[in-house]
Amino acid sequence: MAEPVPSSEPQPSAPVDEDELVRGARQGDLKAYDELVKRYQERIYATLYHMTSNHEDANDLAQEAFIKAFQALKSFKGGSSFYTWLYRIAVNKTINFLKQRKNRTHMSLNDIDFNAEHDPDLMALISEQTPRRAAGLTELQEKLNEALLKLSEHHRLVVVLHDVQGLSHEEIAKVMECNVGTVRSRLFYARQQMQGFLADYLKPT
Amino acid sequence: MNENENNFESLRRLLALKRHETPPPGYFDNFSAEVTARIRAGDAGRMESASRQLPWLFRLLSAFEAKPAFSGAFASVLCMLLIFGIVFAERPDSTTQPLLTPLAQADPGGILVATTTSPSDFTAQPTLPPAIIPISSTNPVFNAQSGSMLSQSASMLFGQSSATVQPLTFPLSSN
Repeated sequence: MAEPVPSSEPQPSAPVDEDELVRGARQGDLKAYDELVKRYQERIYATLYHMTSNHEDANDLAQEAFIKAFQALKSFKGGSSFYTWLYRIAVNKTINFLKQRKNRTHMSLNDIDFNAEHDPDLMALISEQTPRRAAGLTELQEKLNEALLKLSEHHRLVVVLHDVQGLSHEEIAKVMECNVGTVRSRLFYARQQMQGFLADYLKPT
Repeated sequence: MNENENNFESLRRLLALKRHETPPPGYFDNFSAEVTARIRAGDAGRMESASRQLPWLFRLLSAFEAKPAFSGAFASVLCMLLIFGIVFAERPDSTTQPLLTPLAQADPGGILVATTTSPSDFTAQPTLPPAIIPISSTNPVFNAQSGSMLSQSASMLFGQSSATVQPLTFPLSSN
């Protein structure tokens, strides 16, 4: 089976607090909503960044998603978790944005953090091809983002949510409002495509 | 499925690199503040544009907020107007009678014709008995007794002799 990926679902330690925050925000309490934004800003931004490969676009889309969610809070019935609902808003907004932008893609990539250079898996991937580690990581980052941008929005989203963000198939199905089988088939197809795009950078296992 | 997962293991390791792409340091420090500021600005902007479009409504609403008693008085006035309107609407005679009476009194025994013009043919008919005052409606109808003359007038007006004329009278007692 797949290697367990750390789930990005909110910890179940404070579900009551979240309900209270949502109730407060629904009544127009911006302090409560500020707390909700702080709670999810990193995950929402990261998803949108990996979808767009552009920091500025991700920033704008994330802010707009949070604003739209606040305005639509009265329509939030609580059928799903606030997190899933928020994710859905952000993802739909991003897919619409990407469809409008079509092929006019411009990458604006974030820097790779220091920890990447100490990741043995990553080092194993680049050690044979590039003698200088930093240069190798940057090149790999560009190729990886280019490959992701070649995927359709829905296939990219599945890869980002599962393989990068660590969401389960069931969680992705809720976000994308489709069944788990669709998620699995999209993931398989997207990975196959990615493997083809990145064949030169992938070592056989 | 296991085989598939194993086939993609290298790819999954490579995709782990994406988790190391992080925004500039301190980026999230002001993120939530920017979001809430934009929400406040958006609310203020919407209120401002609405107040530009309907300034009188916003003055009224602000007056209601400032003085709750004023809103109660305003609601009472609206209720009074509504009740008055309903009561007044249930008495149809009260509206038609005063409008027609002065004309009938001014020329008893004649007919009243609703028209935008005032041709000389449509004048009062002194031969009618004084007890009954034929009064026309808003439609151009004619007195039955002088129908032939009025039919001629109608043909003159509409330019065709085949125009049908329907006599109609409203007998009203004249006291």
